[in-house]
Amino acid sequence: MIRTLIRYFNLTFLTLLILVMLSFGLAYFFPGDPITNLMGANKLDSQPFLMLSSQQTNIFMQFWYYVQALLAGEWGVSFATGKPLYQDIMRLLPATLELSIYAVTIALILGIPLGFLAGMNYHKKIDNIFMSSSMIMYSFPVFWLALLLILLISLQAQWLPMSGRLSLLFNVPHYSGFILVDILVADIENKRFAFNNAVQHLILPTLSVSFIAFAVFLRTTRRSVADVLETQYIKSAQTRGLPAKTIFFRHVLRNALLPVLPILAVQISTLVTNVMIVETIFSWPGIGDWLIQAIYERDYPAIRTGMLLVSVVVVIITMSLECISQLIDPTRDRFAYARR
Amino acid sequence: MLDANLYEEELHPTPLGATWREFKQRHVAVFGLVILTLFIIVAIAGPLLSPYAPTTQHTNTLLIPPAWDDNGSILHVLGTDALGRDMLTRLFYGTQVTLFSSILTVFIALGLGVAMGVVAGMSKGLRSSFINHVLDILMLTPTLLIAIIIVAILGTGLTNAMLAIGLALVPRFVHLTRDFVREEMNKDYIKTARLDGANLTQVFLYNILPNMVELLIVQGTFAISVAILDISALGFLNLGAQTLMPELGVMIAEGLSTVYIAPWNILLPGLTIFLMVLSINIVGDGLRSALRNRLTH
Repeated sequence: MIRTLIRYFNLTFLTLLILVMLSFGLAYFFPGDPITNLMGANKLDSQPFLMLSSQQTNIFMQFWYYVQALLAGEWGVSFATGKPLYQDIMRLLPATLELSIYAVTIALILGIPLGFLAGMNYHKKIDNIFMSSSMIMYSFPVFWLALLLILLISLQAQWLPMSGRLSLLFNVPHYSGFILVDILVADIENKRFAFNNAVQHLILPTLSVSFIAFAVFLRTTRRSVADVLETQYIKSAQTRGLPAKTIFFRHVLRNALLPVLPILAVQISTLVTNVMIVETIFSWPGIGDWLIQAIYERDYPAIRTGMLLVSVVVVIITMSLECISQLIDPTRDRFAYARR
Repeated sequence: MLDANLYEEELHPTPLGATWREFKQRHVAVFGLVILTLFIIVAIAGPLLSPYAPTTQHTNTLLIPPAWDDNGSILHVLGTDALGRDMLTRLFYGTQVTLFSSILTVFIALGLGVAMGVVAGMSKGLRSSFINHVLDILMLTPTLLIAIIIVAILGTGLTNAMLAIGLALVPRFVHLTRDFVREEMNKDYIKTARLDGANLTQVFLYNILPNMVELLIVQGTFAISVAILDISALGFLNLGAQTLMPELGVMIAEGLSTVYIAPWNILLPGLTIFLMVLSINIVGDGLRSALRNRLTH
């Protein structure tokens, strides 16, 4: 177990180092002056940036100061607004995390039990219904789905709001950045109405993101349940005359759940892409919307920092999921990543 | 009857024939194949079928609804957009651009991925480790981020979007090839070939590749559906194909400005993407289970 932990820690560290190097290299590939691209302005009076922009430093020292600046939370300033990027990103990141967490939770809560239902009825009517509908679900282009939802539910029926996180009527002080938590913690009037309003704003974006994730989880679970049901140990359990309930809870459930976690890890990067697109369409004030605005404005420091941060978050989450599934199930291929 | 020769009556289909027999068993898969063929035909012959050019603006017929609507016109079967361009024509050209750019992207990614996967699968030590680390990062980075970076460096355009999506697709082929090659290298028939004096290149070309083709076709099919979704998404976000090009995602983005009065401008291109991806997924799924069944039956 310790070896696995060390291995994954090592792997994560190396990956993050390469990512930081890439983001440093990006400043040289973007049009314009590399130093300006790194800092976002001509003069910044923080210690690492002063060293970085001095004439005497060579490229290796520059990289070293760049790492120092990153660790110190000095991420440069945005071309477009002139504000420090660190504050911007820390304000936006929770919104994206909130949306992704709710979407994944819903997809998991619905997808896994229904996947079990389909897998237990392998090649029967209910399985075929689930399979064909999930096939339709994951063929949807996510942006078109979001537009359809807006068109039907927000514009035609006027049931739900179509953009933003909260109606402007409510003034919720910033606490954690997670809107639902903020409202619960905040000491404001009309707490209930604010909460309801935030939930209403959440429904459509969450639905669009979880729609596709749900289909993937359903199919994965169904496949792994069907595989488990065909194994010898299930057959032997059946011949011994164990009741179906015992077989299901003791043998099928645990073994079928094992492959789901790695699939979740692989799906993270697709999920992030979908979240970013959905954020843009619903004007959800998160990191994806901000990054796409940044590319329209050619705001190079913002692109560099945003790319670094999002990929670091994705790498850390994926690696922890991989590590956990490795710890739970030591028999699975332990060299799925970076094997030699 | 008894004297009939049993061996001559028995049918021995070729692998391809056996796959087709299994594939035919699933009517949905055949239906998907028909729709996909239709899309390919339309993509190739579309420009011949339509009397208009995709950029011609019919200024006296702006925002005409489709022909089945009371205000529709039979001259523009699926209506026109805000600039008076014929929707059906644009859908033909859009299918062409989106489908063929996706297929091209997947082919290039597949070639690169298989080449790198073979190197990673057959080599050991530092070289393999380096390739794998870099690929893991590529695989973990969301497609949209890769696209944003490429757009920031090279600028927008369909070619750059294809480059970004190709880059994001390469790792999955590399992983596939590498795992397959690793597994096969330990098998006896490869050892026999090695004992016969075949070098690694020959072993790959004559022994491993023929066994891998079917796997690659199935994965390639799914990759095409992913590529279509991503290319149109980038077009929609104005990071891929640009306004003048009739790409399906771009058409949806353009239809947004008149969505209140002309919803068909976003419904029809979206429906085209959806049906195209759906038919590809159905065919891919049918192929995969046909191959699995062929081996088990």
